[in-house]
Amino acid sequence: MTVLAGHPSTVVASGLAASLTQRLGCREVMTVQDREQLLTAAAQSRPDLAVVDVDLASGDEAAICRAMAELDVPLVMVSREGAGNHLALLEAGAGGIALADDGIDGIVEAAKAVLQGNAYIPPRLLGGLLHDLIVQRRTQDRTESLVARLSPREREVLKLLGGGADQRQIATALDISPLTAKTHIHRLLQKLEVRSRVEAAALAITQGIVPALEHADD
Amino acid sequence: MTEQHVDTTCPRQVTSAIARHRGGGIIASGSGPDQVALNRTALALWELCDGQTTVAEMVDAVSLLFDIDRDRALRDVGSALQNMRTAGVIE
Repeated sequence: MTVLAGHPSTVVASGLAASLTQRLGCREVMTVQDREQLLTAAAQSRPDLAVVDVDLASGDEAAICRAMAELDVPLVMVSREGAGNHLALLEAGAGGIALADDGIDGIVEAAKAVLQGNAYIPPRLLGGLLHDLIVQRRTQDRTESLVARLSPREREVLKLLGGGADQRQIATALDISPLTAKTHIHRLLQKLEVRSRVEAAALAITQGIVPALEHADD
Repeated sequence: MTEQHVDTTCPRQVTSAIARHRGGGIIASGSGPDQVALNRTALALWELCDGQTTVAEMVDAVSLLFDIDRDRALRDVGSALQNMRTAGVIE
């Protein structure tokens, strides 16, 4: 079994590698100190597991999770309690999260679970993550119910807004007058309960409404 | 397609319920005669018993978070909540 251990500190990465070698019985543990090294090593060696500290991610932990998932490399992200959005890490493809405060025991427990194909969430994070997930689902459900209020024409307008079109471009695309386009925009803002076109466009993009509407048109 | 059970009840912690650490775990006691041991998942579910979160929401969240099928999540959540009801720590 080969494992990739990532931490910006050479000393910590080496210590992590030594512990994982001993505790997991790894044949090889490679160490990396930055994001580029991590992505290169993962692509070249396709390890059985990557254990990466969030400090290595330079603020974009989710991108690392996505990259490892695309490479089909199971990933344990080592994080801190109260730091970042742990739900986003799991949704981006992390197989598990370990808390640095739990020490090597917590990391090994997470590594073993992920190697067995299970998700691992530290007990201390569980309640918060379940709560965050429920709130996220409620927001999504509410957004979907708001979008369901839109007429087919207003859906087209929202799709165009999500694509970055302004009032004039919407009018041209739909072969309607700018005033009619303005009326559609005004109505959809009211129905979506947002205050600006920017908010509507952001809602269309971040909630995946643009792809959903495109699919609905099929 | 299997029929999905949607439980819209919203369990709530009873005000007299208390949870305390004992022997490395969490023990909760309430209005019932027995105590209930809460593992980490049960403790998280107990925290969600706020009278506003539905059982269906709990089941969906557990299913998504642990990447298990909804039927299994339904059984696990249902069993944990039943134990808590029996012990009188939720209503």
